Amino acid sequence: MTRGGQLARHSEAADDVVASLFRVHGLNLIRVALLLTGDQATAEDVVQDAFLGFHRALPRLRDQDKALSYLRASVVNGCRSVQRARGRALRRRVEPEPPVWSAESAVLAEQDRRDVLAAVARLPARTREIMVLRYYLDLPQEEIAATLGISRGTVSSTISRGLAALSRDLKEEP
Amino acid sequence: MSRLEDRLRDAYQGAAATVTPANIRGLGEPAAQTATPPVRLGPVWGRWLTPLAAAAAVAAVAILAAILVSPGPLSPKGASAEPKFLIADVIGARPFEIRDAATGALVAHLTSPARSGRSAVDTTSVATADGRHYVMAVYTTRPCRSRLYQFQLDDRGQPSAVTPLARPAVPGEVYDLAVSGNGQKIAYATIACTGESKPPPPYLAVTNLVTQRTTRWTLPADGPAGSVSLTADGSLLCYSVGQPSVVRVIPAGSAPGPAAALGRTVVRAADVGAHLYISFAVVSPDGGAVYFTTYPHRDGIFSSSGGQVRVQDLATGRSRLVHAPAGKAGVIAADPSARHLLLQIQTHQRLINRQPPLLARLDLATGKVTYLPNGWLGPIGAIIRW
Repeated sequence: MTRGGQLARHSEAADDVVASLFRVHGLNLIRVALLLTGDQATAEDVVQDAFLGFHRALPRLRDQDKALSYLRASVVNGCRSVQRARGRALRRRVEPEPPVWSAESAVLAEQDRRDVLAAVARLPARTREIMVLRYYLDLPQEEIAATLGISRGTVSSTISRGLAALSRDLKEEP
Repeated sequence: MSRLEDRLRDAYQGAAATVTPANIRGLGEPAAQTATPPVRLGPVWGRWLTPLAAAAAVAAVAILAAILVSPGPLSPKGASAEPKFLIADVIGARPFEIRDAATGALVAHLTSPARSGRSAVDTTSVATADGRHYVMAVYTTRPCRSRLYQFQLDDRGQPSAVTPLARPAVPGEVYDLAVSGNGQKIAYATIACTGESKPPPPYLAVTNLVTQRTTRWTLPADGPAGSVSLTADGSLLCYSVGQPSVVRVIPAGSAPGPAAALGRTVVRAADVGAHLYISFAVVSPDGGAVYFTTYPHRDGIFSSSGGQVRVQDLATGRSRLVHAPAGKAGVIAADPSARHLLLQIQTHQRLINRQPPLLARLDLATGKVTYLPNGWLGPIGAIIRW
C-alpha cells in the first residue's frame, strides 16, 4: 500500500472512531457545555471544537479507552475559554446570547430551576465545573480530579464550599 | 442526599433536557460552507467540521504615541494620516499580532512581557498616538493590578523590546488606554480583575508623563468606563459609560473625585433615539467633536442591524449621521489622528460565528467606507489598536 493509501485508511479509521464517539457521547457533552456556558449554540461550538481536537490528537492518543475523559476535559476547557472571552467581549460591548437560566431566555420555564442555575452561575468558574461534573454527570470525585487535573481533596473541598455558597444564596440547608 | 443537592440535580437535568437530538443545530446536515477544506468524516457529525477558534482571552494595547523610556514627554509631533500597521488581539489567538493595516498581512508577533506564576496574566490594552510608539498595559490577578510597558515599531513593523514604563503598578485591570497627540499624557480606565472577590473600584486616570503626576476619578463599582481618548494636547479626557449609555468629558486638570460629579455629559444615547446603546466614542484631536457609534437593543438583546456612526459638535450639541454599517459595529478602533475608524461589523447575533466579522475603514470626513481583508480575524473578531 502506498503511503497515501495508508494515510487514507488511517483517516477513515479515525473518522469512524470519532463518529462513533459522537453518536454515543455527543448529546451529553453538549448538555454539559450548555450547563457551563448557558446557551446551546455556544455549547455546540465548544463540543464541535473538542471533537475536532480529538480527531487531530487521535493518532497520538496511546490509551484510546481514555477518549471520553479526553473529550470531557476538552469540553470543560473549551467552556472556560468561552467564558473568559465573554468576559472580555462584554467589556467591549459584544453581547452573547442570554443564558438559559436568565429572565431573557424562554428556554427554561421552571422558576426554581432558573433560581438554582442563576445561583450556580454566581459561583467561581472552577466550582461550577466541578458541580456540573458531580451533580449532572454523577462522576466520582476521583474521576473529576483526573478530568480537571486537580487533587481529590480539592474536588471535595470545592464541592463543600460550593454547596455552602449555594445554601446561603438560596436560603437552603446544605 | 440533601434537598439542596436534589434541587441542583433537578435544575441541571431540566436545563440539560432542553438540548435534544432534534434541536441540535444542523446535526446530520451537510457540512456548512467554509473557506477551510473540510475533513471527511462520517455522516453523523458531518457538519462538525468548521474549524472553530476557541475563544480565549483578549489583550488590549493602548496607543501611546511617544512613550517614555524615561520619565518625560513622549515625542509624537502629530499622527500620520494613515497608519501603516495595526496591533490586533485576535480573540482565540496569542500573542498580539502586528499586521499590515492595508492588507491584514501578519508582520510580527508581540509577546507579553509578564510571566504567570499562580496569577493570571494578560495584556489588556495598547495605545499609540503616532503609530510608532506604543504603551501597553499588562495585568495580573492576586493581587489585581496592572503595569505599563512601552515599545516601538520600526518602518517594517518590527517591535522593539518591551520595556517597563517607569511607574509603579496601578490597582485594577487597565483595559482601555489612550495617549495624547503630544505624547505628554496617558489616560486609562480600570475594571476589576476577572474573578476577584474584593476588587478595587474602577476608576479613570490621567498621568502627566512630564511631571509623573497621576489624577484619578472614581467610578461606580458597576459602572466601568470605556472608549477612553484624549485630545491632542491632553487637556480633555473623553470616555463612555453604559448605564445610562452616555459619553462624558472631564478636563484633565480636574481635581480628583467622583467622575460623575466632574466634567459634563456630551452625548446621550437617548437623545439620538430610543433603545440605543453607545458602543464606542472618540474625541477629535482638537476637542471640538466626538465621534461615536450606536446600535439598538431591546430588553438587553442587541440588534445586529440599525447601527450608526455619528459625530457630535461639542459646541452646538448637534449630531449628524456619518455612516450606517451593514450590521453591528461591535469592536471599533480609531487611528491616532481620529480621521478614520476601523469597524468590525458583525452580521450575526451569536457570540461565536461561523464567519469573521467584516472589517471596514471609515473616512470620518467623507463617510467613505473601504472594506479590508478580514480572513485573519477570528470568529469573534479582534481587539485592534491602530
